Amino acid sequence: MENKTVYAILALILLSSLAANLYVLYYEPLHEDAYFSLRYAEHVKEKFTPLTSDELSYGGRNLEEPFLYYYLLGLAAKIDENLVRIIAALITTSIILVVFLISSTFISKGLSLIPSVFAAFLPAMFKISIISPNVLAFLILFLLIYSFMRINEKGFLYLFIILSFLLPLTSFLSIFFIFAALIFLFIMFIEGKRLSELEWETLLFSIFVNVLVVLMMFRNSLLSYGPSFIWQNIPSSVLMEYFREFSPVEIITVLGLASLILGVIGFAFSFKEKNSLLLSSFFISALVFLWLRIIPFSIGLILLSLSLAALSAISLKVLNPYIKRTKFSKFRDRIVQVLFALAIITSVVPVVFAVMNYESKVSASTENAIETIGGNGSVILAPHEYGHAITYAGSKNVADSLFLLAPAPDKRVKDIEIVYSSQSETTVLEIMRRYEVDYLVLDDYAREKFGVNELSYIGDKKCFSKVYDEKETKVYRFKCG
Amino acid sequence: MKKKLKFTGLNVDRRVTNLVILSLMFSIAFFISIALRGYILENNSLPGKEAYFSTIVASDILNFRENPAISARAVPEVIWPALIAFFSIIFRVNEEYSIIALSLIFGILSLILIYLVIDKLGFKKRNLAIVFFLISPATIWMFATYSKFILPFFFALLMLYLLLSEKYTLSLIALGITCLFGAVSGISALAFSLLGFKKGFWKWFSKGAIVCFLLISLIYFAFPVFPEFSFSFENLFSLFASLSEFGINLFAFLLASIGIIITWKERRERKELFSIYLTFTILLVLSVLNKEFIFFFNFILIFLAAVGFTKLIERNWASNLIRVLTLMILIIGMITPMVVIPLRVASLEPSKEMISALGFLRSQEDGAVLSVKENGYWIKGIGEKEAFVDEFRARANKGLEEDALDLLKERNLEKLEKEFGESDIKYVLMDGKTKQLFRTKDEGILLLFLYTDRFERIYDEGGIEIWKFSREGRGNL
Repeated sequence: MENKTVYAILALILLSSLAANLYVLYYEPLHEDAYFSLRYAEHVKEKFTPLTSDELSYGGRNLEEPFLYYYLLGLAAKIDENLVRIIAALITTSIILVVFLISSTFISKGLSLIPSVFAAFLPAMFKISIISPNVLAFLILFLLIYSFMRINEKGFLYLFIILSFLLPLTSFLSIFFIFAALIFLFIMFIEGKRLSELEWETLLFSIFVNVLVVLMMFRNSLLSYGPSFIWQNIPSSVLMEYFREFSPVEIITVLGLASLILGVIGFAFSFKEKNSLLLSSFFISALVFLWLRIIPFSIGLILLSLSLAALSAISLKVLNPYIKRTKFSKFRDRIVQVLFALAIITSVVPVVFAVMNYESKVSASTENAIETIGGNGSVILAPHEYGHAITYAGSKNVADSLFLLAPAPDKRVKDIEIVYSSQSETTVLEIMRRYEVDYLVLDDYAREKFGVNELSYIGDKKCFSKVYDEKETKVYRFKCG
Repeated sequence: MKKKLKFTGLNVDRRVTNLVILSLMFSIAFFISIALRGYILENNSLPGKEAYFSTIVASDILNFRENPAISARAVPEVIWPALIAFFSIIFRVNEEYSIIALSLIFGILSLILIYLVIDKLGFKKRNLAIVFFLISPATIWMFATYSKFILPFFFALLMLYLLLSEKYTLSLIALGITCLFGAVSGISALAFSLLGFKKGFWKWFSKGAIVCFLLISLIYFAFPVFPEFSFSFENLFSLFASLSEFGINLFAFLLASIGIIITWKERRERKELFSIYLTFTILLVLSVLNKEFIFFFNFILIFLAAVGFTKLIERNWASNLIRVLTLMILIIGMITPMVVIPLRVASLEPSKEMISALGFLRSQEDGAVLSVKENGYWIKGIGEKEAFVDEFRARANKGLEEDALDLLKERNLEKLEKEFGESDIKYVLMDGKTKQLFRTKDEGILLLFLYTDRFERIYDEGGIEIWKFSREGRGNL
């Protein structure tokens, strides 16, 4: 395949991915976690300082969040508000380019399109917030791999150094990188392979940088929770839903059958070479992190998917000479085309479904309700998933999904559950008073989550009055505070 | 090696010059934490609980008063206070000055011993190792909080130095003295002694092990409270998080690991490396099981970290940029605790608010004070009142802490009156820690505060309340 054709197809893949991302960002309700990024970006835009304490979250708490991504969005927001979503979509799309570049170090540019398709259409990507620092971290992680592969070439050493500094300032996933780098060194040692002086030094350097910045950045969390801070203080009840169990069918759907098969073959053959071993270290680390439930299921799946996509290049590299030696060699181009078609079918179809069925937990009507009643520092009680949408509207929440350093998140999440599911008005009133709640949100998501249709105590007109009732969303004002 | 000093024209051993400079560095670091607390945070109390325990026992020794630690024959807990009392008599200073002076003196002596021990071990970068020792969190914590481990750490080093100098009998005596400070010190000293491995070592070691076993058994026969060994994340955290209280520095650990990896190749030519690896492993495992071992583990750790750092510097780097950046990060990682730990020590409790509350309590009539065990030593040391429970008593009498918590949770006035009468409790000290025991404002004893006139709030400032219990009044809820 000619280079021009390859680049044209690559551009097409990039554009379709960008279009899908922009569609979700502009035409669907925002993912519940995206509100936090937008709020942080607004804070940066206005004050240009990191958000270290939040008056609205949990009624007031300290924050320890890597800030780089938010500063990037804040700067974009300074230029134009629309740029925030465009930059988020561009970052997501750029990952495909990096996977293409990594693959092209193993196979031809034409064949590299197959791993690129796998990376372009990740259904798991639509399960997380696209406006999230983790997305930038994915890009940096795979750029780190790429620059490490070409560390001996001019410019890549500087790129690796800069990225090593940027990663821990971007996301919690720097811990994943440290672990993956250690796994890589361990496998290299076991396999008796040697790293060049420069490779050894750069890897050591990147581990040190990440460790230092993580220690500095999460100092208070480390002091509060010890090493268990890597579980991010997530309440046990949330942990159950947050880290879902592996379901083989779900994995195949989310990863894509072709990507999974080619990726696993690639993994099996990856131990021969140091560069491919680096990809395998990422794959193993993603598995370990998922197994230990250190990263959210969707984030883990994306890391797994991206590693598999890149590893599929190894299997193509291995299979190519085999095909040449067999009688199928004359059908080589056809086989590649079939593989490409398979890649598209097994990856694009689930993504189309994912985009079509895209649902934010904060529905459009609930978002509207929160915006209508919020903005005056009032306290809104809702499922913790709505927490960032509430603070984005200028109200205080009882709990949200940033559990690290949050005051008693376990108790608060349980209390929210009690408010929705309790039959005892006395208990509910006590909780509502304790958190000085002004409004209570009830919508379909809350109904489904807590298994209730209506709140049994809501008939008490003395304490509750309905102030919003549109579509499935109702908001009650609490008057007995 | 003698070197003529330019500014004095004297012939001075270079090692002496180095030691003087390092001792000065130690003294400056030592006084910085005192200055931070005293002048910047304007808190003139001793930092933490341990120092108060030692000064209280010392004061009781000096005044021939009864003390639970002395009555319980808790030898490991009493030696350090006894030395403080002795120092106070000799130099006619109070116990607080004595504990500070002794910590400084034994700090400098330990520093000299580390220098000499590393010299004997044949490692050339002694100054680097000492600097690493000075800036390590465990060292800063140990000396800045005037820990009871200052003395056994010194004797363990002395034992090692004497062993390396082939003064076997003296080293055995030093080992015996170290064992008087309890199992943690004794086992650590035995682990240290492995560094002196040479021909005939096992004969000395078997004698040492017997001495240790006998002394430790004797001590625990007199005061049967054993150190707790449990594998927990908390221990691991203290061990690995460079910014936590008296944990080891993570970067020192990484450097030590590099030191081990690099020297691993030389293990066949340099047999002494085995004893270093063995000591490191034993103390690492023990530190995970009981965090008090960290003070001893820190010594071997900084030694190996210095080896690792030296090897990294001496290495032919493929990229000078990476070399500079890596070393810069390592230096930042190594010196960060030097900034963080003194600040942490300086801000240790008792807070100014607590001192003020206890100052008020001191002016009140005698009577025991009920509070959580963490406040016990301060109630006695600053408030000059008997605490119903403190950490030593809670350790010696396992049920006492539970009794204190039961009293705080008690809502039955009659029962409380009886218990208060038996223990002569006249005051209840409510600070942040004590208040955390209650979820609502009318739980346990708080209910009695609210609805009976038996309790009078005599102090309420800075979040600390003191309630006085009176035997007269209505009492009905």
